[in-house]
Amino acid sequence: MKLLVPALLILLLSISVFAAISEGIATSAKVPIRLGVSRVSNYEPRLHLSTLNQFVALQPTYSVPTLGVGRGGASNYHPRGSARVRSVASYGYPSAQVTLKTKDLPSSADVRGQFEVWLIDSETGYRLSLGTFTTQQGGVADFRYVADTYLNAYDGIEVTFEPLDDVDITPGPLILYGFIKPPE
Amino acid sequence: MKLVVLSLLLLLIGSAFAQNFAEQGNGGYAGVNSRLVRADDPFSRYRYFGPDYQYPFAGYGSKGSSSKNFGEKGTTSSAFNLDTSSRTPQGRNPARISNVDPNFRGYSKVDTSVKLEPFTQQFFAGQLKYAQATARLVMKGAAYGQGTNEAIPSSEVSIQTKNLLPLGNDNIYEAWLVDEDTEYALAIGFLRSGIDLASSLRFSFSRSLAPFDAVMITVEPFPDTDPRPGETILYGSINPARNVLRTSPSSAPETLR
Repeated sequence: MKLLVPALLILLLSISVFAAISEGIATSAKVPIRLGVSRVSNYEPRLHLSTLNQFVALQPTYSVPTLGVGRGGASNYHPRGSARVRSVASYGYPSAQVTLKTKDLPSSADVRGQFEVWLIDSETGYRLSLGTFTTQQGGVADFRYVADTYLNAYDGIEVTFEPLDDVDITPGPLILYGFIKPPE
Repeated sequence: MKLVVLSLLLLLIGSAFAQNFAEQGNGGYAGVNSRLVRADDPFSRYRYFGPDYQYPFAGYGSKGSSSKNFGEKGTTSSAFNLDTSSRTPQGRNPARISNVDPNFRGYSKVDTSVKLEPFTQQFFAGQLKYAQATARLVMKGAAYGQGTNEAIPSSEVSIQTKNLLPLGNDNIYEAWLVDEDTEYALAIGFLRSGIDLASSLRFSFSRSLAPFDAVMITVEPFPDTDPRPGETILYGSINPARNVLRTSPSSAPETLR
């Protein structure tokens, strides 16, 4: 019995060794590495879109005067936002998501207005409106955009101020902006 | 004497227990006693309501529905002045009881359909293919802070197309919302092709559809570095919603107010 188990193990191992050294059996070690023109792959450059997935820090276009908090402390009230821009193509169909969060913007109830999110293509000057959002007290907002599209052409993201009953598509005054790095 | 008192006590306690068990059996649903009672008297509503009882003629069991249903007010609302809320659709029944006030704009909702017409005739396999599409646009809650509207408006666009010719790998159909005043087209996504030259798109976003006048479908190269619209294939104007034409209650004749 003591001899049987090691013998079986050796037998099993020797099969793979035999397969590796014998002709006619393909193993991963035997697949020739083809480089250059002779390389075979499933890569289709026309259908392939580079994946975009990055965080964008949004800067304000205005500053809030520091009022201070009590004994010499400075208020950390600072309008800001962050966005995650994601754009993936799979099986020829693209899908894109943009999530955006803000803080310390003026609240919609106070200023009687809402905010609109835009993606900017600086080459052609096209602006894609992603939608509008309203802020709560503290300027907190959470915005989400999902579409069957790709966002590779865009290099900027902006948040503008709009009236509540907005029937005009043209952008209002700029509040926050950020830059999307071009995908590799 | 002591023996008599003790036996009486025992008798009383025993009978109390028995009565208790019997009442439990009659009152509940489960248990042998309840089953026996039901088998003996299945029409127990006579016991509760008596033989003269009649069901109410209408609105049985419903008085005041949830305030989310348009035209129906909750029981706690001071505006609830009806006995019951009608739950059945009654069409043009003039006797219908309803709280609907057409001038009450509690929740802003726009629901329109758009027919998209082709720009050019297209031939496919020797046959004339008349490309066509319909779009449905639904917008909810676009009036911030008014009535029961939500803070963020939400819009949904559903597009169904037919007879759009196959484009191959280098092109793709894209749908747009168009504002004719500023000549701005908003891309809302690519159409996913289905069987038999049919394709569809469902797109929703948190935005008002008020600025847009038309729905458009174009052909775009894929991938495309220019996000602006390409060649137009289908185009359809959005009819103004009916509540745009509605006059305010204050301008109505005195008799109608």
